[in-house]
Amino acid sequence: MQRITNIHSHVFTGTCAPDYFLKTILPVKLHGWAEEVNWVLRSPWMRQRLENWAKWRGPGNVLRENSKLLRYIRFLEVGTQNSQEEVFLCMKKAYTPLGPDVRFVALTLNMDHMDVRSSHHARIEDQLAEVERVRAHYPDVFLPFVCVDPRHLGGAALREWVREKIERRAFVGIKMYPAMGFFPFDTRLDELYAWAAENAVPVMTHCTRVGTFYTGRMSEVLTDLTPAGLNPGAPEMTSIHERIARFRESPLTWNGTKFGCNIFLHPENYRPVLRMYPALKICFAHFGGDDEMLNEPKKVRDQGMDPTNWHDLVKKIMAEPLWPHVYTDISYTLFNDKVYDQLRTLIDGPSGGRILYGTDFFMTVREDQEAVLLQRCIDLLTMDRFRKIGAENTTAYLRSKWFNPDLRFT
Amino acid sequence: MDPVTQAALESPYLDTIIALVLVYALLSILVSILLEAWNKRTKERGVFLQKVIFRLLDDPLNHNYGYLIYQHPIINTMRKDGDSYPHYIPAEGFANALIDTLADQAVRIRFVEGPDNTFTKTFDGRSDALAVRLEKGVGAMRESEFKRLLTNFLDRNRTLDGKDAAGVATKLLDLERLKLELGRWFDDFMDRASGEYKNNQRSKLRILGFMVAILLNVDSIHLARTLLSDTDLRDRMIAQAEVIADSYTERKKQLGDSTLMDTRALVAVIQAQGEKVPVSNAQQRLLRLALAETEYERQAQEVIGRVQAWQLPLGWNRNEAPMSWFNSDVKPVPIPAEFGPSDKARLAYYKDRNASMCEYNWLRWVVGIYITTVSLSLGAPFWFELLVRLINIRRSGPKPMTTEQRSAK
Repeated sequence: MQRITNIHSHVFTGTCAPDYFLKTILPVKLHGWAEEVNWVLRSPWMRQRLENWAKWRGPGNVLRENSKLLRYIRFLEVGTQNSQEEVFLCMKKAYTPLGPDVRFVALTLNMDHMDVRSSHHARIEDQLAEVERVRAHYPDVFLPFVCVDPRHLGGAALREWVREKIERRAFVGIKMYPAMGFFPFDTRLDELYAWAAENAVPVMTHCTRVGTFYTGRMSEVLTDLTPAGLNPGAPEMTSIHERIARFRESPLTWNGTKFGCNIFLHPENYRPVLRMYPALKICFAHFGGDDEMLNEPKKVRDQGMDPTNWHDLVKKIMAEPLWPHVYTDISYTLFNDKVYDQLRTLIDGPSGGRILYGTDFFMTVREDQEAVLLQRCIDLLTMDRFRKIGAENTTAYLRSKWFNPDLRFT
Repeated sequence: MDPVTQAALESPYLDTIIALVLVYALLSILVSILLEAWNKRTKERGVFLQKVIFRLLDDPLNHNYGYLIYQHPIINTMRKDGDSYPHYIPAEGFANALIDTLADQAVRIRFVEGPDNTFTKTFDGRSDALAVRLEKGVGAMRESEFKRLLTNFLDRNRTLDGKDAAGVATKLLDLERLKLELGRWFDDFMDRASGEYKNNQRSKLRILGFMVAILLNVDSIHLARTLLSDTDLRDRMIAQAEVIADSYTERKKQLGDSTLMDTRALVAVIQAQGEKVPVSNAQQRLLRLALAETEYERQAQEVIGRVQAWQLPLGWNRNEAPMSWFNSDVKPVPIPAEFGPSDKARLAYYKDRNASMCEYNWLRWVVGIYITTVSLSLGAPFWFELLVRLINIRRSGPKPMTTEQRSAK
């Protein structure tokens, strides 16, 4: 029997994140105070006081009304653990009802290029060194993906850096986070894609309008407004350039990277890549996001600069017979009960074999506890569908030349 | 003794200064208590140590070895709980953790397909001796200034081993010597870091000094004027100052090192003077909120109780500035039974200060609070040392007159 795998989780700690990381999670109004809020809330004593206050049921308690704060505190509780191993164990505990065989894909995150400002956080190499040790401790259940960023290494150097890690099976896949300020069709990723496609190595990419993003200025990361990319002849490049021009013209998307960085994440950006490497096994995480799925965008889509529905775009790409290795996962999106009607239909549909189970732990702690999300997902999907997306589909996605999901690791 | 010195010793100014220094000394203990409580709560010392070690061992081209050594069991097990970092790392522990971390770079985890359909974990390079792994680990690093530093550390700690087949002298890495040198390097760095820590604490002392000055409404100008004009109060304060200065000197002798004078020892020093009044309910609630029923709360209560026993013109009172400026029904200052010229001047000063909210009075109050803030940020040891010196100077002169003698004169 195939094993359940949570295909999308994070175990990095606060030490791995730059000082300005919280800016990407806090409400826009508090962005200017991100480092101060971070400093205050990193104190366990302060968190405890605020939590007690928020739990107080007295009249006029403004904090109680805003349960976001409580969830945010819980998020920090997980993120400020001592080590990545402790964060992992925190997540693993939530899966006790499903037995000890459940596996977890831990997606590392390269936050070294999140801004041009300096920060004394543990960089990606340190994060990976620690993750390798966790892999050594839990080889059969802890499956890390290595995060790539073409500004860290590019071309053949990047390919060799990743190849060495995956060939000795310390890592089982590749993670990309373009919202940090690069396009997925960046020429520096060409060699890596070629190697990943040849070896069926899975790639996971963030693909929703919300999440962590580059916190500096757009002009620092978008220097070329008509990037040629690794496939300059692809027909989509024209529309990509037009979209970049629209983002550049609007002060709403050019001056605020929260929306501006969506230019890097757009699902259409992957078409030139997929045209070059149709065998590339890539997963568009989050299925476009819960609000896109329900067609109720929380904010006007990218301030009106890009009115397309990303959930529909991901579905469309998946439905195209040219690219049978395009996957998606329901991470984070699964917290919203309203999406399950659509999810059931989609899982039973023609692309249902490429929808994966994942939760986006510990980002989801801001919405609910991991155990609650898991149980609700099973209840609302039924166990059969859950097994399909959590075991069958994830097994197919993870299988590569270097990783056989049917074998045990000791 | 020359007449100028004698006149200076007999004047009320020295006693006023001593009384003022005594007040600063006690209130500085309160500031130190608040600082210690804050540092303990925010685990400040551990966080600071972690930050400086991250900075020391940060190699942008390779790893932040500070982050990696904090994952090492030697350092990790020093943590009291999940939320704190060790306050102190011994040089030997640091050297061992760093050597292991650097040597681990030569070890690679690899999973190989076994015969029974499993992937088995192996560690490439783990069978080598620690010294060999260390050499390989440092050798595998990308070229950087930190690598240069480490390579030089290794080169300085090699001993002649023999000759190889070609007759060339071979050198072996002496790990024990290397550990000692790394430990010395770490200790030197920590000496510099402790200076930085003290600077960092000074800015906090200023903030807490300001908080105490505001919460207790300690206007230094008003305090000095009152002490200068109120001989009874001044005499009482001098008597207390002598007892406390003696107690401090005694305590310092017992401890043998003034740096060991923590807030607990300083509170024990002031307990030598018996007078104390219980703190008010409001003060108690405030202290509980800030110090959460800890040893610090009890210490703070001791200090405040003793300062209040002196009946100094401190605190927030409807009849005292600045509250009196907003109160139309200001009660007059109690007039002593024997109303002398100095009392008349005092009364005029009180009337002038408390009655009108003019710009001059505001400015004087703000300056008074500022002086208190700066004074309290100098720390309790400074004020206690000064108190002892001033008391010694006072004792070296003729015995000052008592209040009765002064009245008879």
